[in-house]
Amino acid sequence: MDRWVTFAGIFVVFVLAGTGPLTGVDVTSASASTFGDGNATVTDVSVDRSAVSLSPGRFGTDVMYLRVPAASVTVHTVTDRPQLLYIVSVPGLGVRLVETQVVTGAGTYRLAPSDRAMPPGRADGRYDVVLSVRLQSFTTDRTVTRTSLTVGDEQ
Amino acid sequence: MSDATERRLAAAGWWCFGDRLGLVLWLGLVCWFGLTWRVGFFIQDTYAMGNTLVALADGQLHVTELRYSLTFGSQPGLYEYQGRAYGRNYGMLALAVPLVWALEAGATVVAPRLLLVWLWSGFGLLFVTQVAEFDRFDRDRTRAVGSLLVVSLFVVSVLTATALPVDRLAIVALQLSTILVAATAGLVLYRLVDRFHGRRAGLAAGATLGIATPVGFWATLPKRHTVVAALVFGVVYAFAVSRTREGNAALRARAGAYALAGYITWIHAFEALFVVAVLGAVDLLTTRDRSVRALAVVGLVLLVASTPMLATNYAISGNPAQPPRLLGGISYDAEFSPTPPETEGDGAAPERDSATPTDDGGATPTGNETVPGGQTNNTSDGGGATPPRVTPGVTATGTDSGGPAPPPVLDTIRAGVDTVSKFAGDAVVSGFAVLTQPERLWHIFVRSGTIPSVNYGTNNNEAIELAVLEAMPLLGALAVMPVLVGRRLRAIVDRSLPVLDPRDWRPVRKTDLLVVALGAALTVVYLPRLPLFSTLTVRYLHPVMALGAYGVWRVPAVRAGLSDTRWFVGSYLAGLTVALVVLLGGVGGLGLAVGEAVQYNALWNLAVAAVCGVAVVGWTVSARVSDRVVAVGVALSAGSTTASLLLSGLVYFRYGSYAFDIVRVLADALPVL
Repeated sequence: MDRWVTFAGIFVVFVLAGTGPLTGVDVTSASASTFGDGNATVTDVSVDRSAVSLSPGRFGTDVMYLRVPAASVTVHTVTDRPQLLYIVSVPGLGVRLVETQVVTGAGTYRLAPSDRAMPPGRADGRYDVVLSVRLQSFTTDRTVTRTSLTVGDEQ
Repeated sequence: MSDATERRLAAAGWWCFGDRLGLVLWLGLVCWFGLTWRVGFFIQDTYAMGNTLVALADGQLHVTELRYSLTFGSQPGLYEYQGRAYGRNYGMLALAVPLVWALEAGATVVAPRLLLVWLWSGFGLLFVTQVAEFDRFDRDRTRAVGSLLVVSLFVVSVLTATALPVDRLAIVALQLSTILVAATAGLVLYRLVDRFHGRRAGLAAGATLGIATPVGFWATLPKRHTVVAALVFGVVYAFAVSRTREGNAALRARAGAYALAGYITWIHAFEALFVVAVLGAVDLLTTRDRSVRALAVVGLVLLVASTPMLATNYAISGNPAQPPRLLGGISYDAEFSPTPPETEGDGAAPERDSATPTDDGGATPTGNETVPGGQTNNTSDGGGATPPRVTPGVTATGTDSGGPAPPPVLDTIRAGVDTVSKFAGDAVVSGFAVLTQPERLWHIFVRSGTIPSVNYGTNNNEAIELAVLEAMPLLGALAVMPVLVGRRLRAIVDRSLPVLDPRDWRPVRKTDLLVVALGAALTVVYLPRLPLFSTLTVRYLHPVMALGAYGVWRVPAVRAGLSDTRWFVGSYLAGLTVALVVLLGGVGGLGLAVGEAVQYNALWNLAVAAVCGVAVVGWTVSARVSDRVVAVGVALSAGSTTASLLLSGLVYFRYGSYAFDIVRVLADALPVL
């Protein structure tokens, strides 16, 4: 065995054995979607309201899409692991999209829910849309911002 | 270790891998599949598979613990007999059992996430040491650079590692088993093509199977298709060996083919039936040895290889001829299954419309489907409560067929024959009927879009089901088949080629016959069920598409494209880059939704399939088309498929957590749908 490969192998084994259950040293962090207690101050929420739309699918997809813009949320003074929820609700279509993101530090977080497809003919009218951003943890739950608009064809 | 043991180990290794190139290919494919590996559940059937594997690793056939569950309710793929819940595809799960044990043992010393990192690094290091042995590389420098690279990847992986709960290790083992099997399929194809056309064509065939066909897509999604495809390649390879050898060596290889075909019965009896039937027919047609001894040997081997299946069925229902799939689905009021059972299954019962549609998308998991783009089936968020316990014994509401007394042998055989003739006969008859419906065939094989007959409700109405050619544009090369077949027929009519008894054909022709027959049979019997939701790359035809890769590399024009290796590899990398730019540009620039992105990708794949087809046909009919043109055509479609595989793993479909956090960190930089 060449010394480079031997060195690499020994290094790997050393790190693994040294960080396992036997030594009690845990180097793994909580998974990105695990939230817990804590709180944060939300200083800014920006959503491009005009980007909410109902439009037909492209490239051979015979569906109607409810397209929703991403929300950029700026937070400060974060403690522990709270999570942000960006909720797009269209009661007239029975649609409620929820995008979550765990907040681990100050900064701007982007929450981009996937567009929602609906069978053709389902979404022909005009519908009320409610966009809201919430901050949630095991110790707090509050709506940061809430705004409504309408989307779809004029009747 | 003594010299003799070492030599024996080395001999066993070379028996498996053939040569160093085979080993490098296998290691490389394992590392490649790991790149887009997500620990989690993409398809709902996998929950039942995972729970059955947990039971099997504990030495039980019936499910005793619902370790994996999306809701407290339905879990398609569980069957009920006398109050006990059973899974299916036991032959596939059996392969993963040793991995469960090994991983759980390893987790007592190493953190589960780091166990995966270690596996990947280990495979990477082995890959480096083997690549360094090739003459074209400077041995010491390759080892040094490679080791440093692996160590840096390892360090970054450790620094970014997130927790992986120990109870995920069974599903990890299941995914790891299909990764290893998919890499083995590439290895077997390498050895098969190597046998007829040399190492360069063999390597190209094995590599493209992993990076340019749906085999790469399904490697980490633990469904039976990967395993069946690999076993079918095994059958074809053993058959090819048996046609090139004489005497006992030929008989051994022949027996090997039947053994592998027999093993498929333990995974999926319906598919195995057709593999065995086709193998038997082609074998008898093309063999010179039809002696009683040979027939007795292969018959006995087939019986022995089917024994695990017969024994499992017997242990479950007392009837060796009744696979779990044919038992009743879990009933309504079973304690852990409050919603109607999903008897859709995916095989034995050839009915197309048994899926329960849900109008408002994937919120209620009644279909066996994915929730693309959603985080709903992210099962590794650690927030789950204690999994619900199954309480066997209170669920006996289904078919109650008396005590466990085994039925008489004759009855068993009669029942078995009835079952076979019912399902097999129906499938074949209705399969041929589908051949008269051009529009339906168009949607299955060429262009998907939103297919009128498919229920997309369970997939949030996203048109993510592809057609065969969209999923594997490399098959565009087979557009040349009419030309090649026509030439051959004309030669026979002109009498410039003698009509030969199939027994006197060259081994490669005999192997072609087996591949074509297997492909035709496995296609026809699934046609009645297609097109169908939840098949993504037409997964029911997965083994056929894998065999298609053999077909592609049998085309002389495609092999001619390899004459300038550098040019071919360069074209591939260029094709990959162009496809990545086009596809990511679409996702980022056009604001595509999941279904749109998949269909956009499908259209691009169709375009490159056309280029590939034109180049290959051009080379075949005209001397003015150079090898390099074919290389570009083939490499472009291969590169585009690689891009599709990468984007499927990193962008289109989100579920679970990446096996390697370094990939998660990198994928965060990509545009999202």
